[in-house]
Amino acid sequence: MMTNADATGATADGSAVATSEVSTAEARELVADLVATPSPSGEEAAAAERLAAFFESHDREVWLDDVGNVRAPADDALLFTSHVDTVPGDVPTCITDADANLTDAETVVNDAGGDDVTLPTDGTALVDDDATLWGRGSVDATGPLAAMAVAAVETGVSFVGVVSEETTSAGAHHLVADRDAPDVVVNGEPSGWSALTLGYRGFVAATYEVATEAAHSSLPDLNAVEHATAWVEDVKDAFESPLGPGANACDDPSVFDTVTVKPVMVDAGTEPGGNAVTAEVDCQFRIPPGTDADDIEATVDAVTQRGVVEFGDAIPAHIASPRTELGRAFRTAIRAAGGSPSLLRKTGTADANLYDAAWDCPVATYGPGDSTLDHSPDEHLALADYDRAVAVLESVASDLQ
Amino acid sequence: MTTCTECGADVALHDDAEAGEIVDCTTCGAELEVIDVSPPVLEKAPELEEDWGE
Repeated sequence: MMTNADATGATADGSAVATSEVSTAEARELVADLVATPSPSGEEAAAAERLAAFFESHDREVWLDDVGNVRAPADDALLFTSHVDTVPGDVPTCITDADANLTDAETVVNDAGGDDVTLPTDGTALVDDDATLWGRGSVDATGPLAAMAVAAVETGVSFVGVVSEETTSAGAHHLVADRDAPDVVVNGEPSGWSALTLGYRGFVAATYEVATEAAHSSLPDLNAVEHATAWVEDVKDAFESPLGPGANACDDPSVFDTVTVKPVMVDAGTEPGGNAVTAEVDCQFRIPPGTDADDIEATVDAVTQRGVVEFGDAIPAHIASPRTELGRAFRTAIRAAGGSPSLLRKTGTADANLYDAAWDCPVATYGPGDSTLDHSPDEHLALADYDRAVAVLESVASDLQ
Repeated sequence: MTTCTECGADVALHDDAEAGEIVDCTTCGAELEVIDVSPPVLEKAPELEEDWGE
């Protein structure tokens, strides 16, 4: 494989990049291979090599950059990018038919401990319209990743598979620092094959720490554990949700426009020396458009009566107009593939936020798969939807080139 | 010239209108998607829906 630590990601001489046909069977083989190759954040190397080999086999320039991103620059009229990593989880990989029976099960295996995963290119799993691929990442986001790789090869547009999206977004951070902006970005996440995601909330994390002197638990004075639990409730109440103070359920249709407060870790108790009670709370905030991290910090500081709060780096919210050329191209492509297009704004955060903040170009997110299966033990992808997503992406790329 | 699917008012498309484009009904304000340009066909444009996660 070519390596090029100094590469900028731009096509060297601006010349047209050759396109190459990819059969449906080969496209399905790629996604099945990638799903069967474990790639939790920080351990993406094997999947990245498989992805790079796909580009090499179609005579595309490709290399792994300093952080492990798979870089395949070409026509920068459009950049397809998705993440190589998945969340951890042992979800057995298999392909089933319409009756949920295993298909080619002898060759599609969960290879958590092995390196050799092969699929027969003549197997029914690779052509069956009713086939479903099960496994970690099939939805989030190996399905979108593979669909974009196929469409990039077929149309000659740029492609990057980034690492560590599920943890630090290190791959996307490196990419925006190391590469010029393309004309348009399509980020790969599961929107469903007939939907386009136009917005995500922003994100910032904070850590609250408080300590009190150790005392007998029969005394009425508040200890650090009580201060910490009260702080969480005060902060949630400060960002009053449409469901009422402190409520943060996400089944309200306007959650996107609110701040969600979510404590994700609590570590509290008497210190080993026995002289103090300490409490630490990690808390995550989802930020709607029109609100920034300074607003969050000011509100939190105003209700923090005791203890200290440290905020991390913030990711701003991202919302795109449906009236761009990119939006038009997707609606046309989805209708051409037999779908009725829908537009989404998501309550989470994605690498699309970083691309939107760093690059002055249209950004939207697309990919096959039902996002309610993200990170779940029964993550699966209908391969016919994957095929349709490939067709939509190819149509969009051809339209925008 | 075609008609708004929401209020029935006349809607004029500009000469270089393309399929997939979103136009506004100047009578009722509805957002309409151009499904075809020859002959012109409009549908109510998809609304922005809310969804979970990434």
